Amino acid sequence: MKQSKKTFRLLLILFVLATSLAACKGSDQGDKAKDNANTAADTKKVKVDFWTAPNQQQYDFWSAKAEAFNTASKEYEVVVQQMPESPSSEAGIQNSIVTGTVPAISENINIGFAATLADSGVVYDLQDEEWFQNIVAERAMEETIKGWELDGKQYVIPMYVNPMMWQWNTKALKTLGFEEVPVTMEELEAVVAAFVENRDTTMKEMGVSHIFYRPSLTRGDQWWDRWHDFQMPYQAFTQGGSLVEGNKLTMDREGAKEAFEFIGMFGNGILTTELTNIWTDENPSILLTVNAPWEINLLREAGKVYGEDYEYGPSIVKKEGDTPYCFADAKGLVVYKHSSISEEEHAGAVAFLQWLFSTENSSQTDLDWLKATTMLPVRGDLLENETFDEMLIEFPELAALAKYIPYAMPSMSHEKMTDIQTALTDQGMAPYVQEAMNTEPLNAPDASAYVDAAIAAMKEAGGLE
Amino acid sequence: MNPKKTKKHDSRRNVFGWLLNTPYLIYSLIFFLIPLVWAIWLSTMDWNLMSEEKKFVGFGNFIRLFKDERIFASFVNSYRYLVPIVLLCFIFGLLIATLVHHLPDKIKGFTAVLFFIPYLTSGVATSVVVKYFFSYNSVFNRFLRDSFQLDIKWLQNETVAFAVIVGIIVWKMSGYYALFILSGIEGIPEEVNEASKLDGSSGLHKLMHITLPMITPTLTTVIVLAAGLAFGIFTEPYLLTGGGPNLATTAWQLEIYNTSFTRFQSGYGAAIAIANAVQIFVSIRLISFLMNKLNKKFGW
Repeated sequence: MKQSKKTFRLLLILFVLATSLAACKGSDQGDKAKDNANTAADTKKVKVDFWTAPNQQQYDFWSAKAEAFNTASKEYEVVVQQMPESPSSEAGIQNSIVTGTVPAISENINIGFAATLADSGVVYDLQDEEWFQNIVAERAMEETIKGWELDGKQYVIPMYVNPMMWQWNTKALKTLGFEEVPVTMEELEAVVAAFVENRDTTMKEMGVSHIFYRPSLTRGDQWWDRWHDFQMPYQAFTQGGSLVEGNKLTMDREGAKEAFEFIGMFGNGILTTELTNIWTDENPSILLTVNAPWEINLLREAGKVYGEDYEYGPSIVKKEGDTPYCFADAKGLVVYKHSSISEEEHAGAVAFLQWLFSTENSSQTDLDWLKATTMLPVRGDLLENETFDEMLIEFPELAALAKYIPYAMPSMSHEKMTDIQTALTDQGMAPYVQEAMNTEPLNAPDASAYVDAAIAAMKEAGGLE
Repeated sequence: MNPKKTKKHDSRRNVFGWLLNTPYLIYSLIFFLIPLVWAIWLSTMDWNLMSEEKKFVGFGNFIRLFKDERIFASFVNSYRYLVPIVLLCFIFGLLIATLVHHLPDKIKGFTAVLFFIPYLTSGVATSVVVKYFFSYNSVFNRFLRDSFQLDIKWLQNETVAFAVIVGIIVWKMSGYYALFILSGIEGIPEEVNEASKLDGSSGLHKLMHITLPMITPTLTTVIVLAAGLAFGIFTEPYLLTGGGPNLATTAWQLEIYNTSFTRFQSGYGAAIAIANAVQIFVSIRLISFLMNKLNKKFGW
């Protein structure tokens, strides 16, 4: 009896210890899995982790490219997975850096987050790499790449650029008597005046209740939308003026005031309450929004025709002849630098990038990207390169957007961009819009005080001079 | 019994007891103690977790809390949420429990489950439905505009947006708390009910003087749980209002999320989380203290 009790206790102790150590075993296995993944002894190929944006279209595109590369390469195998959104894709990358599970390459990186990564020393400076310069030459990006510079260095291989545009309700515009989208402030004011005049008659009959739809105008947590609704008019009015350079707030006060008052001009014609299916509705209830090509396929599926139901208009400029500078919604690829990434894996990452944008593959890569995502690849020769002709003829809306790529400017490249743009919204844009929404269109309230408050808050938030 | 033998026996029992507790102790060490110590250390740093460069700021992050209007708003809002959520969850929970208690036994269980279903629905799904329901072109809003010329900015008005969030949480949780209260009511001995009946107590009088005093320990649990819930609000403001308008609906968890994962100020985020934990601890202790006093008053 005593003996069996002892045996039972011994077994119990062993069980307790085994279960206690189970968690540790799990983490060991995790590390081993990564090691195995990176050396892949069975295939003799070095595995290269690649993270895509967390959406199926981009994942499918990159999976196809990786498969083609893996077939061609004897040394490397690119393993594609969607980046975890835990809780956001940026936080997923942050988490992977902390835990040493960071991939060798990822896409979906904007210049603002690239600045944070560069400032943290976790991405490679590509400026002096010969292969990087070859990619720039292959895609004719010599001019474009200047906008991606961070402290004189390059960290991102730009993948796509969507010039942000005004999206107009063509039917409503024509009903108001305008055959062309407005380009200058004078033309826009004429459209707004016509809307006010017809608000309770023809516009009401068409179901168009508001001029401008922008639910995030009063939401500081949606700071990124200031790229589109504030930065676009600001850049057009200041003819390409910057917001932040280095550690200095360079935002032009007068230009910012004009951009605020541009929004304020819509007065109670601004709709900030959420709308569902804005442009796919049979009768859209708004005259214009800010938009870019990510809805093209959705609109086509809903039977909307570019030029009949909606069309893109350039950034509104102060006077005829001004350049319609706009915001470039742009993201690209970065190559990570971390102790968990071996030299071989890094070399594999570079080999994959070289293959993607080699002389033979470069145009095809970008064409496949365009087909898969309807987002414009960053190429200086997009309109001249005949590879893209067929696609741009099939999608006139893309051709309309492509014309404005040369005027599209990326966001500020500051590691505290989020704080700066949150401050711009909370202290400037949001309270100003709340006041403006109580006025009639074309009577924009004076924005001076709001701009001054925003400037002070932006300086404090970003530690700027 | 030989004292030496007893001592040896006790010592072996102690070792055996410790060994049995080992899994929980290791679990607590890995998932509670180490993260807590690490969070305290992190709260003294200006660090984004990615950079090799870490800057020690001492109590700097905690001092910054007192100057941060978003944190002040979260602090105030946590009590603004606490009062209506606790009160309404209690009232609706009591109403549902009383209603279910008086139903025939055959359908009692089924009805209780029906009221429990909102608790099982995901906060994300509920918020998405609510967002759609209050969108400008929703059937509901079109009806209000067409029939009453009412154009309510549901999620853009500070008071209404706050009420919508409280409403969602109360709808979701009342059925859950009702189960606690129902079990309390069902646990009241039959002789107590009969005695009250003989004394002519019924309806509201019985509720106030018999039922509620008899279930005070259950109500304490409900109130403490609802208070804890009010301090942990995240999904609804995150998906519906982003904490606005004018920080009227922001919450601690939302600020911790935005600071740590959007602005990448992980050190400051840890400081906010610690401040939040302290506030929750003090508040819950205070509520428990008051409820214990009430329990004692009713002889519990």
